[in-house]
Amino acid sequence: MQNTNPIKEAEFKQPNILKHFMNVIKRNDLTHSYIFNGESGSGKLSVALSITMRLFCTNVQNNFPCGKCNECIRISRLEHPDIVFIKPDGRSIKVDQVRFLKSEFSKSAVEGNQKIFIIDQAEKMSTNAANSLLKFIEEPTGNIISFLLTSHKNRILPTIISRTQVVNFKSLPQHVFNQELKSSGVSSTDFNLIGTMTNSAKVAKQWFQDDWFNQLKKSIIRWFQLIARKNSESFIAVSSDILPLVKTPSQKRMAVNMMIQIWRDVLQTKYVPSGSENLKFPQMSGILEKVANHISEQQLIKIIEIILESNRLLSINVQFENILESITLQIMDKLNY
Amino acid sequence: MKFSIKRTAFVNSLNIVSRAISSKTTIPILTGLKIVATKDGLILTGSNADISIETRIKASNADNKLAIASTGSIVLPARFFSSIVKKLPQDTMTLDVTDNFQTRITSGSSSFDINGLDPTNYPHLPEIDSDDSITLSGDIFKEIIQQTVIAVSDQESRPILNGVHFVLSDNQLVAVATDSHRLSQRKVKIDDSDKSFDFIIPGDSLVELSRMIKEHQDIQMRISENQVLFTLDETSFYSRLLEGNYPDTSRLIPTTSSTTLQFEAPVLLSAIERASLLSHESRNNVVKFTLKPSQKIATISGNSPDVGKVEENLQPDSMDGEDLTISYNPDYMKDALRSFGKTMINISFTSPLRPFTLVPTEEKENFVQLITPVRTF
Repeated sequence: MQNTNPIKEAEFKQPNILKHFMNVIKRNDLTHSYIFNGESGSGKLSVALSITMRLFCTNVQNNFPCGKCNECIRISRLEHPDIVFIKPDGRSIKVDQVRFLKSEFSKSAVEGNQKIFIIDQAEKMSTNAANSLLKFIEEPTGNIISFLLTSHKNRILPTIISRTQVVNFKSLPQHVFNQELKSSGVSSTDFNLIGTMTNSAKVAKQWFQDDWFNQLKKSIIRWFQLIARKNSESFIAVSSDILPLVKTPSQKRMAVNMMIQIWRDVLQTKYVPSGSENLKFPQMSGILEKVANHISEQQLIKIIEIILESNRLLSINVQFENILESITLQIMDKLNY
Repeated sequence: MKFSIKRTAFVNSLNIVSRAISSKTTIPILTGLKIVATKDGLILTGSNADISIETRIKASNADNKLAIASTGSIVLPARFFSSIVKKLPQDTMTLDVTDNFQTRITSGSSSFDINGLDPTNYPHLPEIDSDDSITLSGDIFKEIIQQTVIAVSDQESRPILNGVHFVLSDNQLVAVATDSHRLSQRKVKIDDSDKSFDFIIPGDSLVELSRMIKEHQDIQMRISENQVLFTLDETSFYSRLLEGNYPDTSRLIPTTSSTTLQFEAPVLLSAIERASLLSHESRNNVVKFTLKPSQKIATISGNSPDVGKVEENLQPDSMDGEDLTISYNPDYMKDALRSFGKTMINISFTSPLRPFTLVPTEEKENFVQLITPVRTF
């Protein structure tokens, strides 16, 4: 469920695209299927909802939906029966969901005479599912407009892409994203780090629930400090501090990402000693500098390579504990100051 | 909003609209039941987006003991609201909506406070012009549904076939359903109607509707751009339509035949049921008719090499035409025969690979079941 006002969000994130679509609707030039391609958090859903509201709104003002009428409110809450919204249930869009989509495609609208389909993360449809939807997306019976939202256009079937109009959403400029983070209460020292991992303030906000993000950050920092001191407790820190925090695959990837970022910071301190504002872990600048002074370029690159390798190991389902422990041992081995 | 009402009257209406409410919906508010109180009475609505049922409880009917203290509307979670109402201790109950959609239900010394939802977010039912209606006998419409709905497809590949196609023109209503293996068509005369309609109603909706039609009840049918409305006394039944063009079925029904059989439908049905006992166990579900009108021999046989054989001599009431051997799926035949009830039927074949038809001996024009044979060689 969406709490914020989609029009405001769309205006803030993608003013040009939104304006373009409003004019297209005014000219009655909307085609029947679109792919919105852009990183998560770039405002795809809010633009799709704004377009929908423009089509249903009973009180259009200056070519923009009012956002206040009953239709607009129900659309923004995804409670309108003629708006079909599907997002992956778990890892993929399930057969049942596609079946539901297909049956909706063939039925008349509940209230008016137009229907809108919004498929979020459309790349998570299986090839079969996507193929079976082809016919409906290409030639819907009746007044149907479909929006496929995706952050990986290359994973969508070419046969679908060729039947739709692709709209590319630019990633948010850093300052827009930072502003968004600020308004959701993220401290400014974390901006750089979060920026490397997501483009969506909503996702970032989730990480800060239960202080999860901070705990993970602290445990990675502690792990780094122990390694820097060549303390073999760093090996134990893996299973005592880090592992209890990471459970899902995306959390594992984040932990690895943080490890990479902290070593990148070392690299940066070594060669671009321009101050701490570009660092991902600015609060650590002291110890970063110490490590940077002690370590050779060769060693540093090797270490980063070791951590990068873990991404590959993760994707072939090597146990996460083993990956981290082996990283720790290998890094300790490389450090010989 | 505040009213009090006789509990049994309320439960009756609640049961009617609950048919449409399902716990599996994409829009959370549809798990709720909408209650509107007006000066004239109550309107209850339940919907699963595909079908919507609306029923009225009139204040003018003294049996309902309905007293509206103040008007308004509310959406309440249907599942446990109806359980609450059914278990209340006294004959009458009072429902009172206060701020923030808080609802208090009282009956005797028992009192419940439950959280309601904002009724303005409930889907709006289409307003359908009341002039444009045709009236049908409920008994006949129920029969039409039962006869055609058996042939509705349950495959997703062609969603348009998941419904029954209704065409009204020249004072005649034609209902057709087909799953591309069989077809069922029923025609009914509609008096003094100069209207013409062409629409497809989902089979599931029709099954639900037929359960609601009581004996000797008239129903009114109205159609709008996106929904069809059936009115049964105080209750309105809305169903969404299927969009698209239904295939032209009129050319599928053969007009000539080379071999004909006449049977009492239940007699043939029991023979088919016996033959299908073995075919069901086998991978290919097929039985075979061997007809030799010249020698007055008609046999039904099933040969499932992995299971066994069955053969039965049939006694048709009459048999004419050329010799013929034809194989078909006995389940289609059973469904078709059941839809005739206890009547005499004519079965007409043209060739082993052409569809054959079943029609009643009387009023042949009005009801046709068509079955496509199976190629077995």
